[in-house]
Amino acid sequence: MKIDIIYLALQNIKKRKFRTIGVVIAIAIASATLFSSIILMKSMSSSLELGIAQLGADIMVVPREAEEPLSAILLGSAPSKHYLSRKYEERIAGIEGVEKVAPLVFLETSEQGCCFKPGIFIIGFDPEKDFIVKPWVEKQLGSLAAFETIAGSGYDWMPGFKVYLYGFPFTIAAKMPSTGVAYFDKGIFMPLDRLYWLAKRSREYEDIADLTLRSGQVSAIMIQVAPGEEAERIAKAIEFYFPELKAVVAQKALGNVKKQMLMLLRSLFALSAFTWLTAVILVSVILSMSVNERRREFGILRALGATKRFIFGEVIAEAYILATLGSVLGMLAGYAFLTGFQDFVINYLNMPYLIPNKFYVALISLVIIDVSLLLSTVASFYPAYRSAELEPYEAIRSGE
Amino acid sequence: MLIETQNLTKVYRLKEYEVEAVRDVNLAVAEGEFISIVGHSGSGKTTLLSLIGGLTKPTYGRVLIDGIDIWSLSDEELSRMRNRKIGFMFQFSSLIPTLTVRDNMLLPAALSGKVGSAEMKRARELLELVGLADKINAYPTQLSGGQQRRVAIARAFMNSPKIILADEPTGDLDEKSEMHVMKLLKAMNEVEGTTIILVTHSRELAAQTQRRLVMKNGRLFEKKNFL
Repeated sequence: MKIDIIYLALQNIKKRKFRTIGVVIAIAIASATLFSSIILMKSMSSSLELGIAQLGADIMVVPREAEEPLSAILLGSAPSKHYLSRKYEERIAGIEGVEKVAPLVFLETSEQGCCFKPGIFIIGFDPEKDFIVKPWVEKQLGSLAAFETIAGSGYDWMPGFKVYLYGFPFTIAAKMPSTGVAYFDKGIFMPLDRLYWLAKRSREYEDIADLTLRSGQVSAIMIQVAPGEEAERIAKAIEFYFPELKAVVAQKALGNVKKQMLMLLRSLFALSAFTWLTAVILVSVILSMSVNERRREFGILRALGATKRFIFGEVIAEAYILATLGSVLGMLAGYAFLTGFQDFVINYLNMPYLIPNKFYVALISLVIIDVSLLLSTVASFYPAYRSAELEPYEAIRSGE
Repeated sequence: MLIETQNLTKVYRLKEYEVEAVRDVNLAVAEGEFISIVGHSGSGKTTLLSLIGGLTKPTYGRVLIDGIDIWSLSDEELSRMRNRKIGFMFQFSSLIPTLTVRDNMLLPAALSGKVGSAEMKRARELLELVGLADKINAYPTQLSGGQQRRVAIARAFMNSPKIILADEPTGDLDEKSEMHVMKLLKAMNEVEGTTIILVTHSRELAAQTQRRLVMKNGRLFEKKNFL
């Protein structure tokens, strides 16, 4: 058996439960907030980038009065009820530098009527022109049959499952991969013609909530610019020729959305910094109190032959063990919260969300453990130094 | 000489005045000697023992062990000397509360970096000598005050030190336990040749040692006719 610094530190941690729990909780809270903040930020950033890549569009054209479309798509706010005519498709396609145009419709099922479930985004695409959904569908399925639809990753519907939309059954033909983008993950995809048909039928039945969409209307026209062309220049040209339209450059809008998100996360980071500061002070105070209580113990250890370095090491080792334990528990709690409450984060914090890969999570965990060890060194250095520098005789006589 | 003190003085500087706890003590203890120091409370006995054991630094003077000035050593060297050559017995229970009796016993060996079956065997034997082998897995809080003291006494012999500095080791013990401890000290002195300096209030116990000294107001005197 080995009785060394680590063993003594572990025994002390085990036997002084109240102090151990206090320190571990303080470090766990601080680690959980830091871990969650970093993972949320990374998830937001990568899901936004993935969303943009998934969209594959450089410019989105919407009616001038429509809300900013990209943040709605990425963040999952209600789709705009402003539509534009499909007649713009050909005219925009004629602008120099535009390579492809694809119309899209975004709808959200309402709570009224006989809908299967409210809050589902229906995304209509043109199978002839689409370069966003269709390539994926062709790769996976060939083509969609009538009354077939593709479900976003946010639903547990398996292929073959029937979804009732405005009174009509649609079979899930396939599932999209997870993107973290609300419209895609909480959406179902169908050809535009089928969506126009569905909208028309919804107006024919009294017990079905109306879809205001008319044939020939779309929510947005997505544009892919030719290689070497500047999206910004083309967007300006579109707005010049069609002042009633708004052309949103995806990368620019992404930057704005990221900025909005970062503002939200800044407060989370401030909270994290505050919890760390509190934890460092708390750990330092608790360790100082503990060291004071154990003066005689340190004196005895010195009399038995422990060096100053040994005593210093024991106090630091205790702080390290507690910091590691606290940060691991905190990160596990943070990870459990972020994965277990994914829907909460998406719906209530209104954030795009895609948990980063395991390598990144492991890397961040190691960084947080390092931060925790570094700050526990700061918190325990003075109590450890004081314990080591105690004169053995004075230490032994303390409490007499 | 195994232990030698030269003009050993310890002065405590308080806010407004100074206290000379140990004054100009010159003591020589040969290897294998068993000596006792008696004196009233506050006479400086414990401070003298701590000075000899390297637990507190003298204000003036030197402590030589095996001819080495212990305060010329580095912390590592002095700690090693305490660990290998000196066994301490304190006036109070000096067990580490978070460790079992076994771990407390093995601490001196662990601090010198050797805990093996030989050390485990010695720990058990020493505990048998103080009648507490059955308490090897107990924590100090599960023992009575007297039992804790006996474990600490046994622990002092763990590394087979050349010197035992015993500060009132039998205080608070009943007469039977006191005699038992005294017997153990004498046996270790005779069998293992351990040099023992015993600080005590008890003239009866002091009378059982080979040489008796008296401490008064920080000064050390030799007493021939003791009782």
